Order: sequence, then structure tokens, then C-alpha cells
Amino acid sequence: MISEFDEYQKFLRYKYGYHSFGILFALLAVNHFVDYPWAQSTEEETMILASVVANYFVVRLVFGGAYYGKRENPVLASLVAFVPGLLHLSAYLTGQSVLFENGRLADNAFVFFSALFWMSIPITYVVRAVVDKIRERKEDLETKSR
Amino acid sequence: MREYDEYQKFIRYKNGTQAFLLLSILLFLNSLLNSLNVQWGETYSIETLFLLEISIGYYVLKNTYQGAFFDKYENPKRQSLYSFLWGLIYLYLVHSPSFAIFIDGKISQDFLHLFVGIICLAIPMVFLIRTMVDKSREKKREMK
Amino acid sequence: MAKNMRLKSERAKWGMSQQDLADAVDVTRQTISAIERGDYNPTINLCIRICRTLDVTLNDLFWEENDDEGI
Repeated sequence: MISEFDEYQKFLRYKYGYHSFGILFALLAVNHFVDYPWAQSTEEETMILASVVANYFVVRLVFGGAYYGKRENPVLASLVAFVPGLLHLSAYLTGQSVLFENGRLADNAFVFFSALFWMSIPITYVVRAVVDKIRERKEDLETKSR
Repeated sequence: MREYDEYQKFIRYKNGTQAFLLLSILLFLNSLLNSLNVQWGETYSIETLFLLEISIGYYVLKNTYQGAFFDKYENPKRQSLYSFLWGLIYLYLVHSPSFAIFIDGKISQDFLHLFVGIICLAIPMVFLIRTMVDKSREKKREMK
Repeated sequence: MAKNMRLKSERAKWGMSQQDLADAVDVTRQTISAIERGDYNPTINLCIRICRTLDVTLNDLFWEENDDEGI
């Protein structure tokens, strides 16, 4: 599976994975020692922290161009990722859910974070595509002016 | 500030990613066990900390074996000795008359301390194994 | 790391976009972009593939002259 990525993509995947490990480790350790309840249970806190860091990992990969393999169609794959995001979001909104309960994250906050995870993929891809186009135009202008 | 060369950084990144995936999978499996009311630690926090220790132990020991734990300017033999001594001192300090690694068949806080001490002791052992493997590879090459 | 302007100019001589060169050497466009920006040091294998595609030597593309270094 990893062979579908080129060497730079593999390098970025490893680099961001390493950063994500450090962040997750630090967050879980701090959460344990601070011992302030901010979700309905410690299990929920752990899963939310893990999903936030996984989200960070995926967003950095998408922005760095290391999420999609060499032969994948990123536009199509982004649209495919948008669907579960919409489903999670609609499940969260139609379930009359609240994000906070008694000053803590509610029981089904995890559904919200899952929606965020899936939707961040196509959104990040679009942002990256716009940044790339702006960069390309600047380079074209620089080349023409020489 | 530690200084690693390009290859060491690459190995550390690779092992860090593997440790991240390992930790994520372990946390997910533990949440499944939790939903089935299976508890193997005194508290859920102790279970999470133990999973953290497993992943950090994997990361540190794999780096040691692949030559990416000690940086370019460190003396690995000296650092290994320090790690070994620190492991012994740590285990001595946490050990008390009421030291119990299991309570009602579940792992306790003391088990976590024991595991940290074991990792510190394992670093020089892994380094020694690696040195022996490197020496035996060198001999085979020289014979060819 | 310094930008690799020689790679960019050799690519332009052949009328190749970053995507064209990326396809020719079996990497992504972002990788070629990262090499040209100086954000990534490619492996020797990738360097050789790029040089073969652009019909130049490794020295032509990847050698860095340091004026203050003595021989």
C-alpha cells in the first residue's frame, strides 16, 4: 500500500506521523495529570483527543500533497470523503444534539468530531489547490519578467 | 539540543509514525473492550497510560536497534550505562513494602512504574544486541 | 536548502511542466515542486532518473559551487 506513494510523499507521511505521535502522547499525558473533566467520561476524552490528532495528521497530509497516491484522482477521492462527512453532520444535527452539557462535551460530541474529520479532507484539498494556483501564477509572472 | 543526521531523522520519523499507528489501534481496541465492560486496569486512566508506555517503548527500542536513538555526538556506550543505572535506581525508588503490580487481577499504578524501569533497562540490552549483530555482519563480510 | 533553479531551467528548455516531469520520473508534481524550491533532497535514484529524462548529468543539476571553499 505504501508503494503507491513517491519518496517525498513517504517522507512527509513519516514526518507528520512522528509529529502526530508526539502531540497525541503529550495531550494524553497532560490530560491524565491535569485531571479536569471536560467530557462525560475519560474514555470519551481519550477518543476525542485521538480523533483530533488523527484529523491534524490527515489535514497536514492533504495540504502537503501526501494523502493521495500517485495514481489516485484526488478530486474524486475528496468528493468521496465529503459523503461520510455530510452523513455524520446530518446525523449530529438531526439528532437534536448539543455539543456541551453541564459545561462538558456531550456524549455524542464524537459524532461531531467524526464529521469534522471527513469534511476537513476535501476542504483542505480545495485550499491547497487554490494556494498552488496562486503560486503557479506568481512563478509564471516571474519567468515572463526575466 | 540533540543532533541527528538525515538518515537518523528519517528512521525516527518512520518509527514515530509506526508508534502513532500502534497507539491509535491500541486505543481503539481498548475502547471496544471498554464498551464490552472488560476492564484490565485499576482505572481507565491507568489503561491509557500503559498503552502510551507500550507505544513509547516500541519507539525508543526500535530507534535504539536501528541506530537512531543516540545522536551524532553522544557516546552510546556511556549513555546506555546511564540508562541502565537510571532504570535500576528508578525501580529501587518506586519499590515499597506495599508494591503491588496487580490489584484484583488488574494492573496497578505500580505496574506502570515497573514498565518504565524495564524500558530503561532494555535500552542498553538492545544496544548490545545491535552491536553484536553488526560485529557478526562485519566478520561475514570480511570472510567474503 | 537553496532553490534548484537549474532544474527549473532545464525543465523549461524541454518545454515540460512540473507535472510532465513528474509523470516522466514517476513521482507527484508536488515532489518536483519541493525539489525546485529546495525543500527536499531527492535520493540519488530519483536524481539519476531526472537527469536521464532531461539528458543532463548529475553535476549539471545538483552540484553546488561554494566560492569560499579551497580545493
